[in-house]
Amino acid sequence: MKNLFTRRFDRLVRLAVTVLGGALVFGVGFSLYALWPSNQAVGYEPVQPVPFSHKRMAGDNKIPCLYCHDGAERGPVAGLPTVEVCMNCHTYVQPKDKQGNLTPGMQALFEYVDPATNKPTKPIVWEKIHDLSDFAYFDHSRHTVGARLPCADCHGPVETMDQVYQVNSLKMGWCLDCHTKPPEPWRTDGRATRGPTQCTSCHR
Amino acid sequence: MEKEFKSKGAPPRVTALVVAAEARPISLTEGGRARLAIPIREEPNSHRSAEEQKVDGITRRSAMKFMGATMALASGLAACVRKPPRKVISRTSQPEYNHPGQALYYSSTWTDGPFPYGMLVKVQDGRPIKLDGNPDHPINKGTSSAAMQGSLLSLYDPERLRAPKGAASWAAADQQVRGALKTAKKAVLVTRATIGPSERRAISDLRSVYPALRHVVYEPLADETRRSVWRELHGQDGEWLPRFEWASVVLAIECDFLGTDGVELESIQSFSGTRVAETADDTISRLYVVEGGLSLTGTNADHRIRLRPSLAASFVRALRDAVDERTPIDAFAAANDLDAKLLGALVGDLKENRGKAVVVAGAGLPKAAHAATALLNRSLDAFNKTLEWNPQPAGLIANSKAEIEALVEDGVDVLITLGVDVVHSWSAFAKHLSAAKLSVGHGLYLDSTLSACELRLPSHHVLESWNDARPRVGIISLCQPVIMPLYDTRQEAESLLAWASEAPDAAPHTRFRDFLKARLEAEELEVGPGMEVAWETALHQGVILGPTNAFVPAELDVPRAEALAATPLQAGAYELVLTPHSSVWDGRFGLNAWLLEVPDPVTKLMWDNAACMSASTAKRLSVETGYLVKLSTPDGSVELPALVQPGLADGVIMTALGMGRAYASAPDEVFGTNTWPLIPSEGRVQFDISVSPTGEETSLVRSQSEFSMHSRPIVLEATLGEFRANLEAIQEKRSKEHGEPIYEPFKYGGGHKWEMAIDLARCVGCNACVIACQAENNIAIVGKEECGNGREMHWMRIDQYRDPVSHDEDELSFHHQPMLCQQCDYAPCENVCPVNATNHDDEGLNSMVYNRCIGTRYCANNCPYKVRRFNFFNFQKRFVEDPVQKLLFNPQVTVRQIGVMEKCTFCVQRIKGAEFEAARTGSEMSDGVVRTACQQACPASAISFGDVNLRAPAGPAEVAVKQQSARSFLVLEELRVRPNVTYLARLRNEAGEEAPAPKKQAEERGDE
Repeated sequence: MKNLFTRRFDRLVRLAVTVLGGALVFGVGFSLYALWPSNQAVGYEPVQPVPFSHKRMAGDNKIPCLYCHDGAERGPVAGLPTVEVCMNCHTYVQPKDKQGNLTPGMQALFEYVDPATNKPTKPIVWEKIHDLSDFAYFDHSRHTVGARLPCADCHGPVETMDQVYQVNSLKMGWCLDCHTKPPEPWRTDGRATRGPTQCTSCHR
Repeated sequence: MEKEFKSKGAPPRVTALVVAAEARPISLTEGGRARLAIPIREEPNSHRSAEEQKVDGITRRSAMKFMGATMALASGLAACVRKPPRKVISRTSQPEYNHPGQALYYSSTWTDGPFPYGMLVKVQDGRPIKLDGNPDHPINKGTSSAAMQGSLLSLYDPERLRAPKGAASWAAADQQVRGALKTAKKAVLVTRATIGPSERRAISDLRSVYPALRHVVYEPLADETRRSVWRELHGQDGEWLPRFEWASVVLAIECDFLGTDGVELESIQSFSGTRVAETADDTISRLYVVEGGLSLTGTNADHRIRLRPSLAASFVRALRDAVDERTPIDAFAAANDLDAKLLGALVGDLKENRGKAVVVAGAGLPKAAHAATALLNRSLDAFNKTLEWNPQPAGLIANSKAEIEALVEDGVDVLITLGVDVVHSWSAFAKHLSAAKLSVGHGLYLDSTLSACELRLPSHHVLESWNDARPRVGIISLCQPVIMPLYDTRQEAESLLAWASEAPDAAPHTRFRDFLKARLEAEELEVGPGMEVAWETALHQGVILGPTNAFVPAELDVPRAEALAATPLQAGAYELVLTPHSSVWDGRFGLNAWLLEVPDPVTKLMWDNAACMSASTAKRLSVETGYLVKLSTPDGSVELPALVQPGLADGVIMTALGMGRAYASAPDEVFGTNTWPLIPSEGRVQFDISVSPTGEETSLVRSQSEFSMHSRPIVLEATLGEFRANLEAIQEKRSKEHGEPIYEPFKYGGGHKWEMAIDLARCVGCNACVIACQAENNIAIVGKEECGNGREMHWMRIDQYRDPVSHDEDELSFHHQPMLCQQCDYAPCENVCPVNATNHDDEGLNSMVYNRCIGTRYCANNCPYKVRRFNFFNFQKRFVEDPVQKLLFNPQVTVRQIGVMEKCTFCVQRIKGAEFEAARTGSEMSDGVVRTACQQACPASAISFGDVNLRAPAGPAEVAVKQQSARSFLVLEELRVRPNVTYLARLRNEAGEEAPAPKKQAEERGDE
């Protein structure tokens, strides 16, 4: 009986199936890789050089965020506390364990400090957790002073974290989820949305 | 997939293969197929077969596949996966006022250039990222020049000398110098002219310790010829400063006072102020420029008379005779083939405006011309009215080459050059350096002078230095460092102190600061309790102002002046006018890429200089643009490319000095041609040169080669008479929109609406805005070759247009038009972007989102103003990867990578910064709180920028007022794109119309 499909057509179909199958495998594999939790920004929890516990500081001791991260109400960058700020308290507050040794956290801190004078000697190199792309320009002060947002709205319940992890993806879509909401009740400036949705608001 | 790729039709111009996706672009060939293309700098391979076109054994097809996969992977990764981990480093302790992400501003002084201007430095995170003028400085009042803006680049230049060479350390070098100076019978110190009073004190202290040390000043572009004439005729040292704001008639004889002659920032400010007329009662000044070359001032003239420089002195003498009514000017006009009517009008204007006219003669002219000019100014009663005497010029009196030669020719024990590249402009000096027992060179780079020295000592950059300057009597300008020294360098004055004392450098970097502070407190500052506060206040302001009484020098010695003015001059068939380069000056900025790449305002040359000549001269010599010509003078000869530049006088060749430098690491890559061998011993004009084509050709790179408007109303202009007779004159010349805009109107919410107005009556075309924009917005340098391909990245450019004045193709009137993104309301670029990377925002800006852009370049294609610049290559790669060069970037602006489009954003980072500040402090944004970089730099205050929606009492904004002007027009408005940049037309004050008058009347002058 005569072949229903030519040899050439058959080869073509086999090739197409192979290619599509390959693409499917590639797609599935890539998606698995990309969406694997450890590769995602959300949940990123790096080990820091100094085991600073926000739970103890911001939670138990109720130190306000702005005491250390004062840049958040001044300008674009919230900043990190200088070693000097840490020593504001830790010159005097030096918790020790039952044997009289400094706790691991204190020991780690004192590597950056001259024990005789309590003056900082070298800066601490932290692992950056909340990182936006270089082409996105975020201004902290607009959100803290302008929109009166609590830090936890974007950074999550930091006062419960022994080690800080990223709670929100900080992707543009996530930002726009809030920016496109209706304005807050206390706004009197007649704005249409909670935040700007213009490109130039964040991209320069 | 299996088929061999076959090209159809004509072979493409360039084909080849590449593999690495990030380094090479994709382009379309004539056939419309997307092909991989190499940069045009490599040889076209169109004749080679597919097999031959393998690169590293990879064929085109496999490269395509690989590239496709890489792109998919790269974009996929970027979208879904966390960024690579980064560190963030806290400080150890917070310096006062220093908050992360926020900038601090420091006052300082720019001592690099020929004149010390006040400078305001923007410092972010401990490093300077932008220079601007100091608003408190009485001379430049917050404005800046292109060279000043460009100085920032040289701070971070990786080619800077980083440590002393020729000695193991500074201590060893100091010991060697001290030892040599102690035993020297003859020692010579060569410095620049503009050194401040404290450094001069350090030199005199050094000389008192070593009496054998002589100090000479080498400043080849000092206006010494002119100044020596004044010294001779008035019996005292000083200079006449033209006060253009009091002048209704200005006559410039070969004098580029708006460009390179004198205190140009002050001249531009005062002159531009006299050019604006808004109503029928207003009047403006009249500028006559008489020159053989073509200067920036010449392009801004109301009337330009082409006259060979050899005739300048006799012309001024003839003018004086005509003004004093001894001999009419017609004789001179007839003898030299000039327009007698125009000269008659000039004489008439000068006669009628005694006391309100000023004549300035260029620093390059010989003594006779300056003597004649002094006599003419005397006849016009200009002294102490439109000319002000300054008994303390900024620079020391410069020694001539002959004087220095006489001192060093018999061999010197110690020869020290301090911050001056002598060998570049005087190559014979190198042999004096080699002949000296100890030669010491102190400079920023390992330039030709330092290379000839035994000890090569690296200098601080001006941003790392303590210093002071006296630009004028009554003003002390302070310079403070804004960054810790990047390398093991030392300030030159500090070296002087180290050599004068035996004590080792116990407090490096502060010894001169203490010396300076002590001198100021003793001599300049108000002494009293709380002296520390006085010092800090002075530093904060950047200037210490003292009394500035009107100084009147001795009367002009008329007989001596007449004798000097009558000095005969022999001229040959061809004359040569040597000018300082518009941005590189005498060569001191000759390694600054920003200043090399910015197009010269007159010739539009980039990275090069040329022998300019008029069209008829070129015809006579059978020379075209690009032909190499040999210029021979009695002092030296040079070969350089010719440029046919209509507007020069016939028989005059003009070329810029200061080019021809190369980095020590790449000595073969020379930028331009060194024309210093042509300089005469007096002045900057050679009166008898020979010009001959060599038969060879080269290519010149210019940003513009087409200067005609082709009858399109791109730059509108009217004469003052036309305007006063009919205020609608400009409005009638505007083109009408052809129908309705084709796009949907953008719905503005009524918030801010940012618009700009550029007053062409004020703009002189100086390029300050271009470099200011480059510094503010991290704009890349592309190099000479890519400039040749039209790929320079300047967001703002100055377009030059020429109109014929008569049938003579060398008689032209020139127009300068700054062109930038017009932020059109109906932007043609926004609608064609396939990925929506460019949109309109609710404040009137056309936004550009680099991360969305995929590089289709459709937007640039659609832009009628061609203001969109594309990153054809990773132009910033070298900067981004270098740990020092990347400190230069403004962190508020994205650094663009390959493949994205960029354009002027109206300094959106400054707009947002001001908005955030207003939101933070709860204040309203007033007019002037947002100033774009170009607006801030402009010495002519030509640019207005602001929010047109600003209501009273804060408003209306200055820009809204300017837009209502009768002189306003838009460019290409018939295309109905509704640009948001309004231009205000320049008015030419033509002779024969109503008499001009200055902006300030004589009654207002009073006692200043």
